[in-house]
Amino acid sequence: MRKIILIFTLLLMTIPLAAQQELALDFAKANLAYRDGQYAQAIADYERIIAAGTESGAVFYNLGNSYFKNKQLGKALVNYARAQRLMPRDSDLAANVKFATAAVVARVEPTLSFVDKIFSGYVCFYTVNEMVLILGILFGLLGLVHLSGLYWNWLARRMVMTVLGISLGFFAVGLGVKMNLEKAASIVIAPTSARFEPNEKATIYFELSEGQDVRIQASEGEWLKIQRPDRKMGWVASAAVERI
Amino acid sequence: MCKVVQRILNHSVVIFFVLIAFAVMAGSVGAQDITAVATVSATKVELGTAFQLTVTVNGADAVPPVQLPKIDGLESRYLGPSTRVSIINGKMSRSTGLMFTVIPLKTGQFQIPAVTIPINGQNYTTEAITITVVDSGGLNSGPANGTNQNSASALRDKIFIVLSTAKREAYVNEPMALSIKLFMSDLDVKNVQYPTFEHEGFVVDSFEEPLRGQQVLGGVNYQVMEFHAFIYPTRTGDLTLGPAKLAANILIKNSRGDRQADGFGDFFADDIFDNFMGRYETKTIMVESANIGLKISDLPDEGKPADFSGGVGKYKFEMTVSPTAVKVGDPLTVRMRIAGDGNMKSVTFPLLKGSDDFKVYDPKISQHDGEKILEQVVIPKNDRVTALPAVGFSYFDPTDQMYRTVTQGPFALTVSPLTKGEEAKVVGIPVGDSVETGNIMPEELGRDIRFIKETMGPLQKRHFVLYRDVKFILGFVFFVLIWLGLWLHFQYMKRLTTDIRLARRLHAPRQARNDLAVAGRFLHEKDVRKFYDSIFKTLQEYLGNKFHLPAGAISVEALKGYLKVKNGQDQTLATLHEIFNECDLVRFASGQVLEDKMKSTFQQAQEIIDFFERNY
Repeated sequence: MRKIILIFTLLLMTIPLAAQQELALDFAKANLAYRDGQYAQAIADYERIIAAGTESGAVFYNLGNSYFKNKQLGKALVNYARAQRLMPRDSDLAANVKFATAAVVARVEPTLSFVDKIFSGYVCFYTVNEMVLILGILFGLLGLVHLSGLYWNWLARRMVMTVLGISLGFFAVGLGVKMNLEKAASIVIAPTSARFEPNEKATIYFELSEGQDVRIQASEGEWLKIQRPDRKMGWVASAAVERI
Repeated sequence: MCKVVQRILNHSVVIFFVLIAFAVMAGSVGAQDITAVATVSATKVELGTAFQLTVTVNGADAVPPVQLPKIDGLESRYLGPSTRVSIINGKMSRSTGLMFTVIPLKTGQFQIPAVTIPINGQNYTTEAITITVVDSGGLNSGPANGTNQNSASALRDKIFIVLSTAKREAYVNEPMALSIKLFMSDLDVKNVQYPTFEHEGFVVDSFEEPLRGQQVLGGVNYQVMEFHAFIYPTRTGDLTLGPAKLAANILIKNSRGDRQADGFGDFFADDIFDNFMGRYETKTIMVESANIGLKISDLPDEGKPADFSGGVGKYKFEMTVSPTAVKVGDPLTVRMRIAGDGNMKSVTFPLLKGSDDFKVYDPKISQHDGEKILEQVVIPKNDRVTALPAVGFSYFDPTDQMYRTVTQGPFALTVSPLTKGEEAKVVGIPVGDSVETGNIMPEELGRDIRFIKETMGPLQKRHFVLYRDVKFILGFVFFVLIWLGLWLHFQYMKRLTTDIRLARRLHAPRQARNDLAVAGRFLHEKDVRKFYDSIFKTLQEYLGNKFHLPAGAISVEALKGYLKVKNGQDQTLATLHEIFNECDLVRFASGQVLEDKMKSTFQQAQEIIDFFERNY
């Protein structure tokens, strides 16, 4: 199943071979810089690959590592989160995210509801593209079973169609939840204060540590209205927060 | 008689004890400190309006009357003393107020000098009070703006807040006591909200329950609500705290009910002090303090211990280990507790490191008010272990401006070896791979991020999402169309098998086309008889199929009855009638027919079929 998904995905998002070779060279250079402890150089090289309009889980993962080693915790977590969107089941990435998250000072943890817990299991297991592809395949199977039932009246087709239909609904809701979660997800990249109003003179509501995950609710000029996982909301300067 | 005596005796005992209690309390009054305070009912008064001066002596049994010195411009008169005795928590306190009425005789600023009261051979002196006397009506008359300003100023004297900290210089993370005092005088204040204040660069604890009390300020006795909280600076440099703001409702008299006020200006624009006969009205006001500047320094590097915990303040550090007698591989629980007045969030526990002697598990840390507790499992790996090493907790004491280290331990342990056949109880450690006892692997886990990826993996376009990809969408639409098409085809086929009328109708032109082709062949072979047979059969079967009638029952008359004949159709039916007659003539009477006539008949048969296809 995973192989099929991978083949389909690759077919759909092919990048010219020559361009790929050039990017692979940049990637190798960046890896060398990282090995030599030149993290700033590694960051510049990895960022160049992304600036070329391409991305991969490994590039974001390595970029996150480089930022972490360069003492930029917030930027590291931003790139780990981007990597998670592309390779959510990577165990190295999960370990690094856990380690880097533990370094966030006074991090406010999200409180998950029962429904969130049910969905977060498989929502975090797949990428958006994988979920779309699975939905497409489920839809196709549903169609095939339906049509086969028209021409060959096999007994289990109703049960198979029910199972496929429920799976389709479950994945569709999961995809909705995932897209909603990813839409506004952001991370604080520099310690900042959240204020009651979008201006420097407004009263401070709470402080935000570097690496704290927040959700962007609205924007006004150079200010963003953010929500902490404990649902407290405040206005912060947009330069202090980066969208995932 | 005996009962009466008994009751009298009982009452006497009660009275006796009450008297003893009062005597003890009276004794305690004498023992308390004596203070003297002078207060006035107002510090700003109009010419000719009397105000009250009270010299209050607390803690004295007997207070002699005193005379105010002569003050030019003020005339005073002693009204007499008033005594108040209160018992709170069994402690009796007594205060005596010497009251004077003072009448201003001219405008200007006057100072009521300090009053000295001799009690038990000692002199107690109050503080001097400054009084401002203005012209009659000067407090609430004149132009509107002037009135507002005067009145606002008067209200600011009656209710205001003061923001203060215990000190103006501190270190990063040092706990600082913050106080916001709300002063109220001669006002009915309700629904006092918790204050808010600017605190960029500080972490702020939540406010405790406010304390209530009294305080004399500039000769005026204020009711005070004091809000306490601890703040912790997070940045170095010159930081500003405040202003603090506090909202409250005040109860005022008002004759008009439609007034609204958002602040001092609007509040007094209504000229509410003009009419004291009106009803009470609640107004919400916001009072604001001045801000204060604080200088925050970084912690000194000199003498900074390598294991500095990050704690700034005064802390207690306790540590226990249990049990102290175990077998190799048995877990010990180490409990550490740090308590103090500093910012507990910034405090880290001393690290217990694994070694050849001990395996250390990740600790479980919990935090409550003013304390942080760590519980950690430690496992002795061999029976040579005699003690858990000493652990030091280092913090910075801002009072003495130096780093301090509190050490706990070493803790003596008795570790006995495992007997033969006995297994280690440690979870997650492979049994049988140990170095010392045959049971435990020595293990030291470092902590860092994992290494980078060597391969780039599948590259894709930035922000590529499948559901927006044209190829994917087209594929999906194509599949849906195929699905729909097959389903419609199935429905069509199903209808053909169940609806014979439709099936015959749809079958009619195809069969007619085939039959005409056969007739055409006979025409070409000039086989007159077979040609007319074929033409007759073609038309009869076509019309039978078309109108779902038995082929043998097809005649022009039958069709006329079946169809509602129109003008054009009448001509067609006449032609049909002619063809049928011609066919009968050839088939049954062996009539001679020319080839041109056969061609004409063939043409007419085609036209008849076309006509019915077009119109029915």
